[in-house]
Amino acid sequence: MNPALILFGIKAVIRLAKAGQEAYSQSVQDAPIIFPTIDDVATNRYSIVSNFFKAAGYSKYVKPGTEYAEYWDQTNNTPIDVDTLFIAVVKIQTEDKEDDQNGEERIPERKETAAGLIFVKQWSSSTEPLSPIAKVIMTAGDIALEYIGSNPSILGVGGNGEKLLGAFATNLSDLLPNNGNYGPQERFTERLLGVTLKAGFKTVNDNSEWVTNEEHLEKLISATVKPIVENYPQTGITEAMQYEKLADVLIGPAAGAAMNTLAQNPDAYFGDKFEQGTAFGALTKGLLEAAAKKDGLKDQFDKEGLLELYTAALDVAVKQPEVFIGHGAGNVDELSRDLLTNCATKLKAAKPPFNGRVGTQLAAAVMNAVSENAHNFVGTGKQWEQTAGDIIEEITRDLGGAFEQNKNLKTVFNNDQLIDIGRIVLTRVSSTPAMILGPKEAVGEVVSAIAQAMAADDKLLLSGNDWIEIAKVAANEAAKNPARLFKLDTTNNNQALAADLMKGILNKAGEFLEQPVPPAPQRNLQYSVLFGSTLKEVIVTVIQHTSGNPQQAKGNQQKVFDLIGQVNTFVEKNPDKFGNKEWLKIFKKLLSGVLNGENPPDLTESKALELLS
Amino acid sequence: MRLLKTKNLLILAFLCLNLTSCTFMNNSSIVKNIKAAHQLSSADEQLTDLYEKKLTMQRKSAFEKLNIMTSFDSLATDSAKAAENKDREYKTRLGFYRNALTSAWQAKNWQSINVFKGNAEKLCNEDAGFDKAPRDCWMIRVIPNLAGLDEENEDVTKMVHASAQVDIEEANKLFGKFVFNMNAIIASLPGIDKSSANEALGEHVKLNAWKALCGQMTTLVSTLFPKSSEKNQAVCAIQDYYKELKSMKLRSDPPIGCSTRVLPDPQNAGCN
Repeated sequence: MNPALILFGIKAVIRLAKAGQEAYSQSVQDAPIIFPTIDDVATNRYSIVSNFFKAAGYSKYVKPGTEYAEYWDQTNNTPIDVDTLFIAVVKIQTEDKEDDQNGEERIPERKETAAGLIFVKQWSSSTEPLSPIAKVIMTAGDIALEYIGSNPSILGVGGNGEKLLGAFATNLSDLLPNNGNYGPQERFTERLLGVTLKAGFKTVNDNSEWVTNEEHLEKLISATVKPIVENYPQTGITEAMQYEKLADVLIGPAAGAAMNTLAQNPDAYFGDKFEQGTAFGALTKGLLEAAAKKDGLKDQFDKEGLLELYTAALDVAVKQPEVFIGHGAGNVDELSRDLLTNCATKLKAAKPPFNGRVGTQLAAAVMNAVSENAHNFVGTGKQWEQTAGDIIEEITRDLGGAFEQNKNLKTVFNNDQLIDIGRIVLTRVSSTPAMILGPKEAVGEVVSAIAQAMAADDKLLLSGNDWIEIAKVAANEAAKNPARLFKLDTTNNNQALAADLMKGILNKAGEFLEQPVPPAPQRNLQYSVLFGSTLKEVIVTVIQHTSGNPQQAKGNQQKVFDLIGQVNTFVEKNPDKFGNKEWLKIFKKLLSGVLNGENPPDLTESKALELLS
Repeated sequence: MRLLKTKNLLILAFLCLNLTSCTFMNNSSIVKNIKAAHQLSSADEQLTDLYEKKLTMQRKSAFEKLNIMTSFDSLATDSAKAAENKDREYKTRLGFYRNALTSAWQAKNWQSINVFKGNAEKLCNEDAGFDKAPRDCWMIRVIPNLAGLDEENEDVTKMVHASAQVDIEEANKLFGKFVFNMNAIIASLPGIDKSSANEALGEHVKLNAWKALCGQMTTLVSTLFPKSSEKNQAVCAIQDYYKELKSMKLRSDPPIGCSTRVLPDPQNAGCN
């Protein structure tokens, strides 16, 4: 059917309003509907034989002296040899059919009756209902009406609403047959198109400034709906029902997310090709496949989580369609499915607090960071979508492990800070190709070191923001000096210098905090200043000073801890003259020497003043 | 024909576009009615889909059968709920009740049928439903009896497969239930015939009566009734039903597989 005609029809329905509603209601109320027939008796062979030879027309075959009499109990009027008599029943019925061509008392069954499908119209007159295509148009009108009610300008000439209807009409014309011969797949298609149109109107309504064109919308609808329709199971009732159920739950929100992503990124898809459409379609198909793998979306997190992953992937697709369909990207369908399935599987197994929304938001950050560097994966034998899943696993495992070991941490971090740690490390580290392509990703190593240190901070000396600052510096240093600070030997998991240094500093700081409150005569011994921002600054300074020469740092690790002890003890004893600023200055002045193998000097007031001058 | 109807709709739309009086009215009842009609249409489509699946489910697993039955049941609940909404058009509500009863019948949810049938019949009588939606109201009237036949048929099937001897009292009681439902169905046929309901309705109600007679009732009497005077009465009742159905209008011949030959032998039963 001509798309212009469909579009005209939809607009007309909207105008017709009441007349259209009455016509539609009438057509639905009077349409043919199914009329079931009662069940057959589920008989067994004994009852078939017994019934048959007790029936008026067939009892003569077992009367005494007849062919089958010996197999029939004349006294009780019951079968003796059921198997022989069953063969006799088949034989007699066959002969009967041949003799009965005139149809003595019988009439041939109607085709539809024989098939068990009987449809009955409301009226005996010939009031024909509307054709299915007209009904679809009515449905589209119904959807449009909802939005026109609250925003009458939505269908203005040249407006997005009109473009959307045009795109819808073209798809309708492509995907549904003109003959009105609709089976389950066509009815499913009709429903999908309706849901997509509804999502489209909502997006148009919510994004009044959106500038788009009909061709893009047409391709987007086609890309979203067509692969799902094509994948409709052709065999198996249960498969079809499960597929429809999944699609019903997911396609509305998915179509909404796709439209919104386009509306939010208007500059990203100008041009003729609209490559994003292909990626969007593949991702939508991948979404359904991932959902099917997750055993039918058993709980709410699965649905919400998957949709968030899908939205994050759409964001990647709209900004960088080439990572889905560019040279070396591989099969777009497989890539999309693997990306969503890998990430969803890793998140499903993640430890708290990463098994909920924090996890999916973190996954979105991972997808963005890794895909921005997808060009680095070409020819490496490693797929970016696989790496994204692996990194999600490492981050959630390591940081989740820290939360498991140090239960108090959850009071230090809010969700945004947790996501920030992952995002900061990813953004800074993933730009160094070797760090995301090595035998064990450096992102994981940095996160692992930070996580180990976080687990060791059982006295909560640092805040969530302090840890974010540390993560920034650690990631920067790791990016500048790959495979040095965080892993001296890539084959030895126990060699994690940064983690050891941070844990050592935290332990030292913790020791001071554990000292008993001094009695009154010794009040000159004050509390430690080695916590919060001062402690963070110490850790940051040590990381920056050691990242370039880890071997030297490894050899003088203990001396660094001793220096921290001496400076802290000195500042504690002289609270009226020295505070945290002085603490840090003195420490920085002496750190280089200690790292060169010198022993920390004995600190006196005059020595300290000399260092501060 | 369908194309013609679509064309008519579009022509009507075109005419309307040129009339200022036909411009869109912001009337929420229009939207409501369209939505209700669309919901009814979807419910009927779902019913058809499920019934098609049921017809092919004989070789399916128990899980799949259960899945289909559960779907019928939830469709029945949804449609009954939609029918109870008094804001909706009268005929749409009747359509929902018809859908609810059909679905509950297919779900074998006898309890729901009992609940729905009272309200549905009441609605039919409230505003001349038998004239305004003759098919739906006649279906609302006969479906509880057709479902009753299926309910009894389940007992017959169980007895056929059970090895224990059936006692006369139990068989008589079961036959009595069949008689009750058959009488109601046969009594409805002249009314259906005279109404403006589509001719196919009467034919198919009658087809169901034939099926009950030649299948369910005959199996009960031939296989399960012990020899007794009660059995003879039942055999004669089946013969009488056969004659009565055959004498009625509405495509009066019995379908293939349902002839006097397959009925229990009346010769020894002493029927008139």
